[in-house]
Amino acid sequence: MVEEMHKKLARAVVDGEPGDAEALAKEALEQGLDPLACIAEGLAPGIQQVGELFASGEYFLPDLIICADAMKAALDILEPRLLEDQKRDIVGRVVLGTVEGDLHEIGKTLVGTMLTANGFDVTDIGIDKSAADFVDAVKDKGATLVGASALLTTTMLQQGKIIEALQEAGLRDQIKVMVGGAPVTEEWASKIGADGYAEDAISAVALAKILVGVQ
Amino acid sequence: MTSETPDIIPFVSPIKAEILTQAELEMVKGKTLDLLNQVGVCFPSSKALDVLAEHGAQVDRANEIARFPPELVIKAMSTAPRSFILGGREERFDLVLDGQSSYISTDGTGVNVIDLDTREKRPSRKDDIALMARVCDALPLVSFFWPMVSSREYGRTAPLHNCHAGLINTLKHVRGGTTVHPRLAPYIVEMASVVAGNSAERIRRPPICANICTISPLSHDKHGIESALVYAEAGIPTSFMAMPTMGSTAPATPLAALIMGDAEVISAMVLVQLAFPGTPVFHAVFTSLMDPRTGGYISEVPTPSYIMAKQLAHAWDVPCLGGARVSGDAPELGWQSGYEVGLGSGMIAMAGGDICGLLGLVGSAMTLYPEEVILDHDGIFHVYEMMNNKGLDEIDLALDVIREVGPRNHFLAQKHTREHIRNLRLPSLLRHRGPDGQQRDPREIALEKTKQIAATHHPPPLSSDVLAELDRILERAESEAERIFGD
Ligand code: B1M
Repeated sequence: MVEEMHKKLARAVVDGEPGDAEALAKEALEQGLDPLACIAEGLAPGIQQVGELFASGEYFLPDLIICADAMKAALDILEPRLLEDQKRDIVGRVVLGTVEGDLHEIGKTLVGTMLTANGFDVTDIGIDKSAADFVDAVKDKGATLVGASALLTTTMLQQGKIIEALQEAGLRDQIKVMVGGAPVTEEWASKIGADGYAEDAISAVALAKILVGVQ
Repeated sequence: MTSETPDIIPFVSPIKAEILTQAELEMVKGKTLDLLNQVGVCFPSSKALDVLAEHGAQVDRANEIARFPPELVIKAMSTAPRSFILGGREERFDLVLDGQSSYISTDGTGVNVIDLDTREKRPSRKDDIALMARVCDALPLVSFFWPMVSSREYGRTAPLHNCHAGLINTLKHVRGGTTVHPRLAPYIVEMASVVAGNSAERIRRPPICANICTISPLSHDKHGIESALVYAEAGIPTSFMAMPTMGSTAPATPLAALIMGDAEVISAMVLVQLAFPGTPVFHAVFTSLMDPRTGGYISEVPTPSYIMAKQLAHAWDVPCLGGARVSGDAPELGWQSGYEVGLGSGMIAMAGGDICGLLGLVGSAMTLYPEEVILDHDGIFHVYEMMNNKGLDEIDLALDVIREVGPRNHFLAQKHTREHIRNLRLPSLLRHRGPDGQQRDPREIALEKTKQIAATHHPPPLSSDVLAELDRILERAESEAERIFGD
C-alpha cells in the first residue's frame, strides 16, 4: 500500500496534475504514511523523471512548469508535517523581479522556474518593482540573493538603484546581486557593482549557485 | 528644388491573400467585443480610467479594469479614420494610408550593433541611428524609418534621441514616438511641430508617428497608455501593437492569440477615440510563439497569423501595421536570415499591410548589421519586380520574333533580345564576380554598398534654426528627466 501511494504521487507529478497531487498527499497523511518517505520515494523520483523527459526533448517547458506545480501542491501539504531535522535543504533564498518601469515578464519567470527546479527558494515579486520593493522583500524573506531583470535600455539603470538601496539599507554585505535581461552585459553588471550577470536561465542557475557558495 | 533622395516605391501587389472569410472576420470581431465586454482590459492609469468611465465603460477602480459595452466600442471605432497621411520632409515622401499600397518599414529598436568598421558586437549608439537613417534615405523601397537601434548612451532619454536622430538624417517619415514617461512625451510632440513648421502642419502631415505596445494578456502599460493620450491629443498617428506570445503571454492557438491581441489593440483605440475623436490610429498584432524548449521568442510562426491580423485591421476599418516582417530570429547574418528575407518578402506581396516589412535586424529585433538593410532591400525588390513586371506594358508579345527564329535555333542574335534583356532587373547583389573569376559573397557587396552610401549620401540638413530648436528641446527634456527620475 505504501509503495502504491508513492507510485501514485510520482505519477501525479509526471502527469502534471496539481489537484491529484494535493489530494494524494492529504490521503497519504490520513493513512499515517511518513511524509519524508512520500517526498523521497514518491515526489522526488517523479520530478526526476520529468527532468529526464525534458532533457530528452519529449517534455516542453509548459510540461515542466505544470509538473513542478504538481510537486509544489503536494509539498505544501507534506512539508509542514516533517520533523525539524527532516526539513529539506534550501540551496539559497532568492528575491527575483523585473525592475521599475519594465513590464517584461517571461525571461524573469523562466529564471525563477529554473532556480526553483534547482532547489532555490524563490520569491518572485513580479514586474515593475521599485528598488524599495526589492529591499522590503529581501528583509521579509531573509534572502541571500537578489535577481533583477531589465529588458529596456531606459530601465536597466534601475538595477543600479537596487544595489544603492541595498547599500543604504545596510544589507549589501549580506546579499549577492545578479542581473540579466536582453540589453544587459557583463560590463554593465560590473559598472553598477553587481556580483554577476547571466545571459540565460541555465547560466543564471550556475551563477546563482556560485554566488551562494554551493559550487 | 528637390533633394537627391530617390522617390519612394510603394509596394503594390496584384495578389491579396484572404485567409479569413468575411463571416470569419465578423465572428472574430464579435469575440473581441465579447472579451472587451465580459473580461475587460487592465488600464493602470486613473487618467485613462476617468475617460473611459465618463463615456460609459464599466470601470472597476480597485483592479484597474475597464469593461466595454459593444455599442461603446462600435461608436468609438466609428471616429477612427480609415485613411490618413504620414508626412515626409518633402511631399513626395508622404505615405497615404488608403489600403492601395504597402509601405516598407525598417525594424526597431535593437540594442546591439555589429560595428561597420571593427565588425565587433557592441551596444548601440545614437550615431548608428543617424547612419542607418542616411542609408535608408537612399533606398527607394524603404518608405518609413523606425529608428533601428537605441541611443543607449542616453539612458532614460534614449527614445527622444532616437526620434531626433531619425528626424535630422532622413527625409522620410520617422516612427519617433514610443512609450516614454508621459511627462517626456510632449517633448517628442514638440520636435514634430518644429520639424513640421507649426502645429497645424504637424496635424496635416505629421513627420512622426508613435508605437505603443499593449501588455498581453489584456493589459496596458501606465506610461504607454498615458503617452498615447499625449500623442493622440497632438494628432500624432499611433499604432497600438499587441505582441501575444503563444504559450506564455497568450493561448497556444493562433486565432485565440489574435482575438486577445485584437481586444488589447481595440481597447486602446477606443480610449483615444473617446478622448480625441478622429485621432489617427493604426492596428498591429504580431503573434509569436514561445520556444517550447527554451522559452525564447519565435517570431516566425508557421501559421498565417500576420495576414489574419492585417485582415482584421481592415475589417475594423483602420490601417494596419503588419502583415509581414522580414527581420526574423536568425542570430546572425547567414542562411537563416536569407531564408527569413525570402519568406517575409513573399508575405509582403500577399498580405497588403499598409506599413509592413520591418527590415534590417537579426536576433528577434535585437541586433543590427548595418549592411543588412541593403541585403533585405534587394530581396524585397526582387519580389516587388516579380509582382509588377509582367511584360505587358507595351503589349509586346514578340510573335514576329518567335516566327523569325522558328523551331530549334536561338534568340541570342535578335535585336529584340538586345533591346529588352536589360528591362529585367536582376537582384543587384547576386552573381558578381571578383577579379579571380569567383562569385562574390552578396554580404561583402552589401557591406561595400553600405560604406559607399555612408560616405556619399547626405540628405539636405534641416535649417540651422530648426536644428538649434531641436537641441533646446532635448536639453529641456533632459532637465525634465532629471526632475522625474532624480538622477
Ligand atoms: C536576475 O538574473 C537574471 C538572469 C538572466 C535573465 C534575467 C535575470 N532576465 C532575463 N534573463 C535572461 O534569461 C532569460 C531566459 O533565457 C532571457 O530573458 P528574455 O526576456 O531575454 O527572453 C524571454 C525568455 C523571451 N523574450 C521576451 O519575452 C522578450 C521579447 C521581446 C520581443 C519583447 C516583448 C515580447 C515584449 N515587449 Co518589448 N520586447 C523586446 C524583446 C526583444 C527580444 N528579442 O528580446 C524588447 C526588449 N522590447 C522593447 C521595447 C522598446 C518595448 N517593449 C515593450 C513591450 C513588450 C510587450 C509587452 C509587447 C512584450 C512583453 C510581454 C511580457 N508580458 O513579458 C514596451 C515597454 C513596456 C514596458 N514598460 O516594459 C516597449 C517600450 C515598446 C513600446 N513602444 O511600447 C525593445 C527594447 C529596446 C531598448 N532599446 O531597450 C526590445 C529589444 C524589442 C525591440 N527591438 O524593439 C535572458 O535575457
